[in-house]
This record gives sequence, structure tokens and C-alpha cells, in this order.
Amino acid sequence: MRADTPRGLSTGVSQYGSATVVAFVNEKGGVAKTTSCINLAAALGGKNRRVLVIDLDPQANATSAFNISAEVAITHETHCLLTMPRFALERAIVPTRVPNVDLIPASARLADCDKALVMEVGREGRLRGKLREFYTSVLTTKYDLVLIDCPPSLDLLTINALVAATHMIIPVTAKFYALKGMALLGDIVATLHEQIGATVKPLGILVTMYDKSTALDMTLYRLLKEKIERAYGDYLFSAVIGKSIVVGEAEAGGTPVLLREPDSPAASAYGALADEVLNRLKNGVRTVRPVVASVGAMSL
Amino acid sequence: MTEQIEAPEAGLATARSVAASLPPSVLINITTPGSRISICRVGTKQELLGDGAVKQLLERCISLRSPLSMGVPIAQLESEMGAVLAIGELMAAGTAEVLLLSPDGSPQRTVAMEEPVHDIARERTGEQGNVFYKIDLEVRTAEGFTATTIEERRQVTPPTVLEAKPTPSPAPAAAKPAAAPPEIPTIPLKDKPPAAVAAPPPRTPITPLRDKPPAATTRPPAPAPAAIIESPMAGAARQGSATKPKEEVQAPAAPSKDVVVIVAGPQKKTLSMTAQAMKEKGYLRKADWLRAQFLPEVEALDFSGLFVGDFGFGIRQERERKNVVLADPSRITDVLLQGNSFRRSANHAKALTCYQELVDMDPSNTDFRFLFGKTLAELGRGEEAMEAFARARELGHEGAKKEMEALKVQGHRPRKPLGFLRFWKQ
Repeated sequence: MRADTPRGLSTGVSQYGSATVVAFVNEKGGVAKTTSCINLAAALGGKNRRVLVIDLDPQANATSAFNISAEVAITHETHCLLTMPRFALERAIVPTRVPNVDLIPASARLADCDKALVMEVGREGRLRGKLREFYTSVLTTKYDLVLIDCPPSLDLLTINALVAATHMIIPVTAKFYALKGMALLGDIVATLHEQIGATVKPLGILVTMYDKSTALDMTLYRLLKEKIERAYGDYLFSAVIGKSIVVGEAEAGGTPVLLREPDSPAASAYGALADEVLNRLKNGVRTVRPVVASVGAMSL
Repeated sequence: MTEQIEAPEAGLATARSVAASLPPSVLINITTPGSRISICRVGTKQELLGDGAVKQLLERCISLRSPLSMGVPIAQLESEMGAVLAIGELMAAGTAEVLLLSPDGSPQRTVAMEEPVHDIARERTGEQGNVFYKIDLEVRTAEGFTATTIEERRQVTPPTVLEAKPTPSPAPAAAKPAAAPPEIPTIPLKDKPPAAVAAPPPRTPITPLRDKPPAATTRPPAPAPAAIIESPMAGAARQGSATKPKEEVQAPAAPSKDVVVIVAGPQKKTLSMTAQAMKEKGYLRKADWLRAQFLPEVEALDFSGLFVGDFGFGIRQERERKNVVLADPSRITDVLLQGNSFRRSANHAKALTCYQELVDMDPSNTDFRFLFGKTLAELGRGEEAMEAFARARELGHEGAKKEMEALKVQGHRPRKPLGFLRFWKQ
């Protein structure tokens, strides 16, 4: 295998060279984490970025979305990666039909990972260790981006993803429970920063399944946008993934929507998201000083 | 005239069994608007019953999304569907013929399927404008069916016994519609075995049923009694002036007919809970109402943990400190007493810290701001003291103005401690 040089993504994170590891995470299920992950991977692959998708969800939806069979998945899966210390990351990589996109598949066995790792030391950093080994090895093909599809829970798998990731994208629907899930995720992320030394940063909040015809979606989207922009900065992606049946059809066909319906609005939205992600990785996000910090500034 | 019935297969089979047990004649008594008023809205389309043709009217009656069925409780829907599916059976078999009935119930003329319902209503009443018209249509077996044909048809598919509600014994057909029974049975669709019916019987030219005498010579007594299915929308129409009383509806002109009456009227203007709440609060747009409802909820959510990677722990620590302070009401008292104690002992720097914390805890409290300003003045920080007094004055503190004037006269010099007299005074 030839050693590729990752293309200019100046993330400023050194642990994986110049590569970026992005976790798609939200405790709330059904917010299009997997769909966003695979379609963003396909969009980035279409822009000549080499992408590795790691399926950390025991439901293995990302695996099936790339049409990887269970027989292949059981021999190259994330379960082995996390539980077997000498199982190298490159052994788990499976090529997909999508150009420039490879996958580390998952299976239902991944659900037992918590039990298998319960007595292990440093269980939260297993994935980070494997990725570091991978990126320090000179013999392997490197990826510009690693996208991690997380399960809809805040268990050990999600924690492994957050510890390993340099950035996170938070898919969220314009529904109140999804926003509450995002707030819960914030507590976990802060704890990981404080206690484990995680360095994950928010790359952005992605609004998915947005139905512009409903007053509820419109209202909650505006409220969220106002709050985030006022308090933290432009973290909300301007690309909004609308509700579309095309996405569901593409999932059923085992192909990302960008390959199945490249002219659909959903495919355009994911293309715009890929541009935005690359732009943010290069130039950063415009931030504002949080309002709550001004309280401290007043004190003597 | 054979139409594709919009009903599932099971429903179609049930329709056939229902139609086999019902007389092939259905009376539709329907109230329709004379102008574009929302009466029967199908889905999100702004289609009005009065704008459609007769065929569309019947199709909507057949459809499971029929306006007659919208918002109807399940139990009522089932009984209503009996009549609705019977119409469907008539149309599917190609045996349907629609007659316009005069107010006394006698047949007036045959109505073409393409004829607009609106025109029929106007022809009847001649009224204009925003009123509701009532028309009586009878969907019946078209010419070309003999009694024997119907008999044969019924022999092929004998009427099923209604298990849920036993069918009353067939009374003489003439007595049924004239003397309305006190309890009119509904047509339960549950527990009925699906009786499959083969292709519709062939048409043979014979005398129209309507012209035949009402006795059992031409038409055998129906196994199922008359059923009146009344949709909830009928209430408003029945109370209106344009609608006949219920007794009139139940007494059609041809007494021999077994009649299924569907009374429909304008949609009752019942507001949903959301709409009522919006109206009470004075919101015109739902988005505004939702915004007012969700704004405090969204503002209460704390996303600061997500951004710790970019901002560090400062935001989180500040929030936690503030939350801890706000979560403990007794702390305000403690800090106030502590601040006053420091001030009495002329330890103004420590007192200022306490008053600052009090202002942070309750920014709307004018006394805290006033004390904060006083302490600043005593420390000689006149400009900041003026700002604090001005803020307290804006919020309504009475003594702030006096302190501001005194500060202007005195200048921004630190006040001299008053010594033991000051402690004695306090």
C-alpha cells in the first residue's frame, strides 16, 4: 500500500497528522446520523477526498447502506477493532462501491462491546489508540477524513468516538426532544474534556429532516439558530437537509443518495454540506464570546 | 359509469356483502354550499362539494377519505361506511342511476353523472350567495334490472346475518320509511364474513324500479332495515334554516324503498385545542404562538458543553457558578448580611465583592444596585458609582437620585470614614 499524503485540511490537530476525525453524534435516535454520515462521505469522496467511515452503531445501518454483506462485516468489524488490542485498524477496512470511500463495518456483536471492555483499562480510548497507530504507520493508505457513525446512545461506543474524534457534527431535527438530546450530549462532551482529556470540537450542528411546510419545524429551527448564533457563533450549518423520500429509497437500495439520485434536492444539500465542512476545516468557524462569560467579567 | 372504487380489497368484499344485504337504492340527502365556503374539504385540497359533479360527490362518499368520514369516531365510521360502501357497490356494478328528488320526495328527473352539484342545488332553490342548499339525490338500481335479477343476485350471495346487532325481521316495505322506527339500527361491518360476489349481473331491459308499485311484487322485502347514518357535520346543517328537519329526511316519497339516508352538512367549526389556545392568547399565526411557547424552553436548554472544545471551561464554570448561586435562595441573605457586615467594619473592598455577587444573582433588585453604588462611592470610584446609581434609578430606586446629586457635589473623592460615630449610628 502506498503512503498517501492527506490533502490540505489544516485542522491544527496533530494526533492524526492533518487528518480529521469527525463523529456524527446525538443521543436522540432518528435524527439522520447514519444517513448524514454516509451521504457526506459520498459527497466528500466525490470531491476527491479519501474518506473512511467507521460504523460504531450495532444496528449496522451504515454497513448495509454501503451494501456490505454480513459475512464480510463479521470478519472486518469494529467489534474486533475495539476488543482485540492487536487487531490493526487497516485489517478492518473494507472497500465500498462509492469512489474514495472505505468502511469499517459493524455487526450486532458490537452491542456486547460494553461488556467485553468493562474490565479493560483505557477502554474509552481504544478507538483513538487504533487511529493513532494507523496514522503513525508509514505503510498504510491515509484518509483525509474519518467519519464515525455513532449509536443513538451515550454509551462506551459513543464515548470512544468522542475521545477519538477531533470534531463532531451534531445532526438534529427541528424537534424539541432532539434539542434536549443535544443538550445532554453537551454534558457528556464537557465531562470527557474534563476527565479524559478529549479534544473534540464542534464542527457544526446539522439540521436534518427539516419540513419547511410545518410551523413547528420553522419555529424551532429559527429559535435554535438565534440561540446558537447569539451565544456561540455560526455553528449551525447553512446547509439544511430537507425531508425527502429519495433518501429513504436510496437507503433501501444500498446506495448513498448522491449516487442514486444525484439531481435530487437532498443530494444537492449534502453536496453543499461537504463544501461547508471543508471550508470550516480550513478556515474555522466564526465564534462569539459566550454571553454567560460576561457575568464573570463584571466581578472584581 | 363503472368507476374504480377507492377502497381496499377487504373493504370491497365487505361492500359487496353489504350491498347484497341492502336494497340497491340509496338516498343521499346532502347540504351543499352555494358559494366557496369550506364545507367538505378532502385532505389539503380546497375542493368543495358544491363545486364538484355528481360523480365526484359519489366518489367522495365512497372514498375512505370521504368528508363524511373525516373526524368521525371509529364506531360511527363503521356504521357510516355501510351506506357509503353500498353506494360504491352500486357504482362498481354499473347499476347506479342518480335521481333528483323533489322536496316531497318524488323523483324529479334523472341527473347526469357529470352534472355539477352546485347547479342542481341552485335549480332547486334559486337562491344566491352564501347559503346552503339542500338536495336529495337517490342512487338506485338503474333501469335494466328485474326483480328476478335482484332475486338471483341475492340468492347467489345470500344476505349475511348481522351478528353484532341482530337484524330486525323484515317488515312490509311500505311501512318502513313512512313510520320511522324509534331505534334505527346501524350497519355493523365487523364480524361479517366477506361474501365474495362474482361479476355484476348482466343488464336486461325491463321496467324501471321507480315506476313499479312499492309492494313486494317488484321488489322483495329487504333483509336489512333502513339505516340512518348521520355524520357529525350534519348537526350544523340540521340547525340551519336551509335544512329539513330529520323527520322529513326519514320520510321519502317512495314508501316502498329501503332507504339509507346520509345527512351531511357544513363542517362544524370546532376549533382544535391548539387553535383555541392561540385564539385566547391573541396570536394570529401559529408560528408566533409556537415561538412564544418554545422560546423559554429552548432558552433554558444549555448547549455550552458542546462548545467546551472551542471556548474552554470558562463558559461552563460560569454557568455552573451562576446556577449554584441561583439554586440557593438562602445564599442571597447570607451574602447580603456578609456584605453589610464588611461595610459596617469599613471593609469596602470585600463588601463590594458581596454586593457585586448580589447584583449578579438578582440584576433586577434596585437595593443591591444601590448598595453596590454606595460602596463604590465610598471606595472613590465615582464614575462607576454614578453608573450603578443611574441603573438603580432606571429600575425605580427612590434614593438613587439623591445619591447621584450628592456625588456630583462631593466629586469622586473617597469618603472619609466616620469613625466610632458611624458604627454607633448603625
